Amino acid sequence: MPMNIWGYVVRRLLYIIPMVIGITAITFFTVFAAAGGNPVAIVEANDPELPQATVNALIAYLQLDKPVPIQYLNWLWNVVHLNFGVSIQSGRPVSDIIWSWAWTTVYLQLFALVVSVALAIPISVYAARRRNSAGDFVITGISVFGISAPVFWVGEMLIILFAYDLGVLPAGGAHSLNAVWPWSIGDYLAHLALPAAVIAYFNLGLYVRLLRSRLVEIFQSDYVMALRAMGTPERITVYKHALRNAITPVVTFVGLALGTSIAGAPVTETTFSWPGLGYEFVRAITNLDFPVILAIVFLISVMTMVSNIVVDILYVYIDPRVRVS
Amino acid sequence: MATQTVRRRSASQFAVALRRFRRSKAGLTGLGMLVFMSIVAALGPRIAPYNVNSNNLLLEGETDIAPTWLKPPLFHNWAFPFGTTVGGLDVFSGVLVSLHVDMIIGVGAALFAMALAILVGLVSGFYGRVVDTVLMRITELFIVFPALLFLLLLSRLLAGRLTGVETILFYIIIIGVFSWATNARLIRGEVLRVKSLEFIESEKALGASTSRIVFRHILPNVLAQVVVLTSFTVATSILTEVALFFLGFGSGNILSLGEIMYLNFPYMDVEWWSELFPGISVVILVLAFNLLGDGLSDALNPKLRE
Repeated sequence: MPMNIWGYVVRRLLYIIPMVIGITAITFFTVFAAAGGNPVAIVEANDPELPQATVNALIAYLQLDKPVPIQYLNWLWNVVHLNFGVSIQSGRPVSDIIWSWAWTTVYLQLFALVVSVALAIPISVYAARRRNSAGDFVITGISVFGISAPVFWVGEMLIILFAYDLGVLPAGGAHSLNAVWPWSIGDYLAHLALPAAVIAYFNLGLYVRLLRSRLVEIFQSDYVMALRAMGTPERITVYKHALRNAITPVVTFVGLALGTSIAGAPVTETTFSWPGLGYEFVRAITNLDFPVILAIVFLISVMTMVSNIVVDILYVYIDPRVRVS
Repeated sequence: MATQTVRRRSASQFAVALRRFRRSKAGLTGLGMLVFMSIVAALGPRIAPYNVNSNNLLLEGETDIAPTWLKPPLFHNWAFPFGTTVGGLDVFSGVLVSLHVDMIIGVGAALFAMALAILVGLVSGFYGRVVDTVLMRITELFIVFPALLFLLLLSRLLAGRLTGVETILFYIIIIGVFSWATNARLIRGEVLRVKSLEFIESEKALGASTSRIVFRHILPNVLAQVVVLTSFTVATSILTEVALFFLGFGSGNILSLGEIMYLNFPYMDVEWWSELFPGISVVILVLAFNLLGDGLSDALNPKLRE
């Protein structure tokens, strides 16, 4: 393990700061530009029966009497103190509600990630070893279908089949109304099954395509031929030697795909009414709930970048040739 | 016989690629699907058997909101091969009309994104130094940018104010602006690779101008990569556009496959066909571009020897 890994991690984490500032600033100024400098006017136009108290609270929160850059800096200053303001929709402080949404998103994504990686490895090995066989053809076909089908559509088909026709799984939500964690773990898992399957299937398509083509190349390489000539058991050749070299680019890719998947949460979560950041983001956008919109853009950006860093660190552990710089 | 000259030109790069492409099952399947879908998309609005104007989604004279306005959705009726929706839309006509719009937005956004990507990639890779650093920082920002969130925000704020043609341009631009970054980075890498080759060095020594090196030598050599990336970018652009409309962020004045699925999402327990058929159309369209991209990638990859 290289000694300077922590320095590297800290540098990467610090690098997040300018990126997040850039992203939130662009979002912030877009809201203002689109609103003609007055987001409250849009909110009022959207909901004319909004209580005056809420409007006043919003004006006070956004400090609309000050110049826009000052307002942005003020927002940023509050975010540093984990104060995201008050939701226009519910009147509650955003920081009170946002963490449970974030957690709901994270456990769905992580569950799907684990499932897809666990399945991708044996499936890719199978396809690569029997290259151009019927099995390989089916696997590559299913994979390319997985990345070509809209995730929400796959979700809808599963809902129609498993929830409406067979009636074995719930159509949406993260748990039943009366379910209590952890006693109703079965209920939670039943709700998790379909959304996790949809996300895992999409990721699986990406991973299998990449891993399979890497493995095909490696199985033709000299060192694998040498191992086979020496009579090394096939299982060890494949899983100990070939897979190790094939997995490294996949690891980077897992990080990118996790980021994409989290950023794509509005689509998957809306399909399943999954009460996470994505679902709430769509609701907040529909209602033009600016504090919530900004908070979710902020959180999702941070989560995407942190997942990339985690994967980069993993990369160093898996491939000893990689040196951090 | 001995005097007959063997006329055999060395195969051009294009001929080699074409020969390889003809042997790629994925590529040929993709091309076939694409030709079919292009014809359908081009003719769609003309051959649609029923009117699908957004205003007619509800049948005439039935404007009250109570469930009584719901038409019983139909399936198993050859007059409506893909069924009808509770709103009275013939799904087959809807799909035909939507494909036209989806194809224009998907291809348009991808071409726009690729133009940006080529520009940034070429300039960044060729000039290097400060230009490269600045452009790559901007590129990184766009790569990590939560594009879908921002697209939703923009659509919500602006889409409702636009006319039909403006809406199409609007989606082309916003999807394009958030799809170029990864491609720009890949093209830059390719430019750097080509730039370090010996023949560029000798061309420089011969006194070739910058524009000659860029347009005569570097661009043709990165073109293979550009063609492959374009195909994949069309696929992702279509998926993004359909997702935006599915989430209800269409402008309401153009019909898209995602819009049909959005409008009928609440009723999918009684009319699965209004989700199934538009979805399958999206899959075929996207699959065509992905398979074509796979085929092109194999055909144009110089590392894969025959």
